[in-house]
Amino acid sequence: MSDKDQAEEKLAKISTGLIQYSPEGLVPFGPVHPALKEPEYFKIILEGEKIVQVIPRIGYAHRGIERALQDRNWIQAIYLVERICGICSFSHSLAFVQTVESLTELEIPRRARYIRLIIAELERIHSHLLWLGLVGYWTGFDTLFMWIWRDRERVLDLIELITGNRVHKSYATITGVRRDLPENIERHIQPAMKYLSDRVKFYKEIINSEATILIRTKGIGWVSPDVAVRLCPVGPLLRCMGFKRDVRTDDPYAAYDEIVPDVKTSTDSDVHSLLNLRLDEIEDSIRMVLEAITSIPTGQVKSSIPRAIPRGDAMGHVEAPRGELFYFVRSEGGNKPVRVKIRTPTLANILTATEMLKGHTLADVPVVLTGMDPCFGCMDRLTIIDIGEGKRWQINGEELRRYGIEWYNKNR
Amino acid sequence: MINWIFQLLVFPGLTFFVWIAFAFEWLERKTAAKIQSRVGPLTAGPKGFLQPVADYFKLIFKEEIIPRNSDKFVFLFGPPLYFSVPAIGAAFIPILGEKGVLSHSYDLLFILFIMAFSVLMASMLGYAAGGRYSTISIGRLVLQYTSYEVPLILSILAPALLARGLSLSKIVSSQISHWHVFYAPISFAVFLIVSLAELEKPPFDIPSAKTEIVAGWMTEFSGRPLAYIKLTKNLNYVFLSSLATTLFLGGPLLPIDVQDEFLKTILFLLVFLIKTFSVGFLIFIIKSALARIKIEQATSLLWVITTPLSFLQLLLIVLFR
Amino acid sequence: MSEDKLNELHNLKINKEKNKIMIETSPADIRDVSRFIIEKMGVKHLTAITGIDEGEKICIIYHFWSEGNFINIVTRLLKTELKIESITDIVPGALLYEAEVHDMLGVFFHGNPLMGTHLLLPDTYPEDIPPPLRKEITPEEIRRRMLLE
Repeated sequence: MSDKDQAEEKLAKISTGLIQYSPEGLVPFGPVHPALKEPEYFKIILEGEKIVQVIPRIGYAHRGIERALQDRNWIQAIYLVERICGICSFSHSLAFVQTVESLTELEIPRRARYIRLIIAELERIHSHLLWLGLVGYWTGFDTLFMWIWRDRERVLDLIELITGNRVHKSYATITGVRRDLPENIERHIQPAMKYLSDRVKFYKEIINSEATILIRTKGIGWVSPDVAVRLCPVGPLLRCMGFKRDVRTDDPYAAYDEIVPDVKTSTDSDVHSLLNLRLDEIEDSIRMVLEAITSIPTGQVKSSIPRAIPRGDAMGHVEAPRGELFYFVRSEGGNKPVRVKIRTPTLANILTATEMLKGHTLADVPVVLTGMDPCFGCMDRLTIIDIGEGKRWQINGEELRRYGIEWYNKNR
Repeated sequence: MINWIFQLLVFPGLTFFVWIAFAFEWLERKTAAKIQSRVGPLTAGPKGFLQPVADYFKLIFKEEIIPRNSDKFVFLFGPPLYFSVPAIGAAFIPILGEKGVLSHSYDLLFILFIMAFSVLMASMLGYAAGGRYSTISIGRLVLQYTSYEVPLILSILAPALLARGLSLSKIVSSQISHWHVFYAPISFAVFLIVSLAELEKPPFDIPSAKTEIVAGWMTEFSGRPLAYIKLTKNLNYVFLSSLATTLFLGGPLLPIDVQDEFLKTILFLLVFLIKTFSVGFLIFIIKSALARIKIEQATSLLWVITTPLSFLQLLLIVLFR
Repeated sequence: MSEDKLNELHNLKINKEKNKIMIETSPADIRDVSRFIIEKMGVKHLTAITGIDEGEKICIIYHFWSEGNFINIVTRLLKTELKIESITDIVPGALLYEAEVHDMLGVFFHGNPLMGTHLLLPDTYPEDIPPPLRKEITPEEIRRRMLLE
């Protein structure tokens, strides 16, 4: 047994607390798999239908963004961090921008803080709806999937109306947001929120009454909160275990000190409680968006952006839809960051998810594994290889083939 | 003789059923799309009617990838054999009269044999292909079959008991005035549930659950073998719907007597098609509104709920008949 | 956050500004300090572990989060001796964060089962060049070594 296998075995022991490794019954789950929208590999070891071990191998979407950020100035960096994730792109730029702002003594206009809240909450609605639809897909309930994704379009339309883009919003900037809200935006937001709130009620009814959804999610993925909390999970995964922890109330940013979120928790710590919890959060987000849009103050949305950022270390975090998103920035006074460290919620949750799978069957894998709402693109970013700028991998198909064959011969 | 061969292969036999199979797939996709607020197939033919045909021919011309550790003979020649199973079964269904093309006096038993053989062929294909997803899928498929076989036989027994005969023609002819579905509604419901299991549709699409085991036992297939398998699955759909029509809904028979032979044929065909498509439509709707369950849940559902229910139905029939 | 409790830890450089508490410690004491923070101060959540190449030394920062404060343990390792004790038995959640620092900066964590493996880098990453976030190596060099060998 090689060192690598030993290490994997130990990882599985720590992460799942399970006993044996047997090469029999190994089922590959990824890197390319219909249940995963992004490339990630989970070795699943089965005994019959029962899962004995889950061994994650991450890194398939690794693009070297942390290294690339060191070669970009502060403004360029905002647009690069946004591209880490397509779903929570605003959370990434917001976390980065807030971390940088905490190094300076800049005052953020009150209107800009309200606008940040509105976009962050719209993004949360869209992300939770997306996840909820995918739960339908993973449990084989395609109708629910299609319905929810259609409703999600309403939120995306609103985001497009405000920021100009559906996915990569390019909206947050140091000292504020880039553009003011369009005029009469509440005329678009209010009916859309009304519609969504009705739909969320309807979906709540479905997931609490539809028999097949209930038996697929209730009690599935149960994990002892005392064990799980030591693995440092974040976000809804932590809140469904009964821990009332939310960055929006623990460390208020944007306008969360004035419009206070109602942090919901559950004590069931299973996939069904995650469903209910996320639906509750959508309802709360709808309330906050409506509240913010009626009480938004007038004024500037940004002040002048400094070229250089003072020397120092800064940590910042926001509550992304998936949980706490952490940024560390070190500045040495120049126009570029010296080091940017990003810790995404998925990386924090993955150990807990493997723990949740313990003792369940293969049929539960997609539901549980994706119950934490994984975003592997987020998780994998980090250092090296591709810093863009036209310097591409100079490799053609024939070379790639030769390289693949050589690698295979060497390593099989 | 030529007439018999024509009936077997062209109308109302194989070719006719293949076209109904394509129509079924179109209806399934279109219904699912409408329920899910999409548009579904749109461009090939009127309203996308020819999309399943186009898909089939596209698959035929695709490259076949044969896995190294597969049983090549079964891998290549198994799918046509698998296709022949519901194709033969369809020849027993009475469409243009009280008798099917191949009908004889104990053909109901043969139908049961065919439904078992279909699962056997599927597991043979999965094992021939090798691969881990296939292996898991076959385990689930066989477990599911052992669970639904008893309710299936019991639910089919109810119309046989009502008609006092084990041939499809007898069952059909006994329903001229009143359909068996009114006397054996529980059996009809059980038959529909079992059909979903036989067809691997939600909530019983456990052997081919795509988010767990990719495509189940079909994962390794491509090109022509896959085209055969897909067509067979659609044909199974038609076969089970027409069987439900025959056993419970009175088959093609009309309560009125029509003298003209040609008109009678047309009317019988129409009645049969309307009933079969209605049953198919019912299955589409049920399937669209449910999520997939797990294999142990499916087993307990089929054993604990449907089996006693079918027994109850048989008891009621014996007591009140 | 109680300052008194922190003061129980002697001979540490503690610096507090806004909601950041920086505790500087030597690499040898990292287990003691983190155990103190977890067990005595009741901090539950390890947010992240950052590794930074500072030229001659590599700085490792353990970010803990508790009740509105970031508690950061800062420790610096000489590049000639990149070895530190793992805290995975005190905080099991540190497993992947330590593995990430190991992968990107080549710091060896004693007691972490993932040492010697790649967490994020591809399996084909050459073993004889420094890890990618180190200043000794540029992305161009890595690209040249990985593809045009």
